[in-house]
Amino acid sequence: MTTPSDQQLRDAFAASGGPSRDAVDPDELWAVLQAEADPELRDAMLDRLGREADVLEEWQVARAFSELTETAAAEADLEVVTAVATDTEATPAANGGAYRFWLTVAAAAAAVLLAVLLWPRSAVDDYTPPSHEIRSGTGATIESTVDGALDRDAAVLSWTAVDGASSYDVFVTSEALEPIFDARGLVDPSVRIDAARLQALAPGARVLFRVEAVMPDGSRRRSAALSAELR
Amino acid sequence: MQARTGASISDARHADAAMRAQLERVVARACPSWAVAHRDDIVQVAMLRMLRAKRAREEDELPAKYLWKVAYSATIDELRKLRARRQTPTGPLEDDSEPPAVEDPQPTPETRMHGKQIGTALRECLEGLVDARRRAVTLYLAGHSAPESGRIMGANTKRAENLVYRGLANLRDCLANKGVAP
Repeated sequence: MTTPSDQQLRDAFAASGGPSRDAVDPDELWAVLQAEADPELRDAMLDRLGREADVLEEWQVARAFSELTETAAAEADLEVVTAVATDTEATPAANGGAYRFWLTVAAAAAAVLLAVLLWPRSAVDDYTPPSHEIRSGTGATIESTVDGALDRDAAVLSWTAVDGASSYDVFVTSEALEPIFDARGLVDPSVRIDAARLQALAPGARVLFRVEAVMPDGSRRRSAALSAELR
Repeated sequence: MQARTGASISDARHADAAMRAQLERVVARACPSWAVAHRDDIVQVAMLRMLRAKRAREEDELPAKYLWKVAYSATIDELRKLRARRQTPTGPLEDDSEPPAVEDPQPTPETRMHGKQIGTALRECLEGLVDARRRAVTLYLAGHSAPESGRIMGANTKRAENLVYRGLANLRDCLANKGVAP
């Protein structure tokens, strides 16, 4: 006798739930999915998910919207970066307030940098990280390790690994912030994008991407908006 | 309040159109097959609720996460209304021109019977698993990856993988003991 495949089990599970006595609270269901519920509520909800067809249907709805909120959060971050880039390219007359604001920020940053460079240096400052730290590419921040332009038929995005990360989620958009691709639960710090997803982009166009390292305790470390050019 | 310029109205319309397109995609993906004929109605109701929420807080820029949560609640409300109407077919319908629900392609009676047997056995075996394994396997069968299951269950990925692996093995043993095969 052959054993049922995972897909057969999933199909049987989706098709065989029993009825619900009472409806679940949608906010509670959302909280469980977001890992924001207390353990007692979470366990009770997961037990109902395993038994009741209606709860499973609503769980799938919550899941789809939850993924959308994560994409929206990633896009919002990318939008901020794009807005900054646009502001710096705009003329002062066309975008006076924002231009002045970012000019002030840039001036302040330059002043801090100058102060740091001119400050008398002590022996304590002469720290060079051990070579293994440099080679391993690990660090607190996530940086792109894409080397050169991406080949659209074999586009691979890659980034520095985060020590202890259980997995990575990555969200990719065009420069106009149109979602192109996302992937979750990646074990390695790299992902290949299907060529079909990049077909609409012209050579020389850039893709923006953001990486989230998922830590064992469920917390996330997010990269800044990273970008790569298409060949 | 400052008058909205033509450009800002145009931007707002573009944003609303983009939001609607995303909403249509999500509802198409998550809508149960029995409610497919009502997808447009669900989108419409959810969109209206999102716009109402935006209008109520026009002074603040509402985070997208909040708006999608509003749409989620509206979608659940609509599904529950449809479900209630579906379960009481003799009751008066609000709209006589309501399109019939689209059903999945019907399998043969033998396939259906076999599927039902597997389903019943699966539920019995699932109930017999120890709590943590049962919940991990439930999430797995609902389509979650091990890291996602771990995040939801408050466990690290390694433990979640372990729970799913052992839970599935127990489940298959139980199904085999019941003589259930695909």
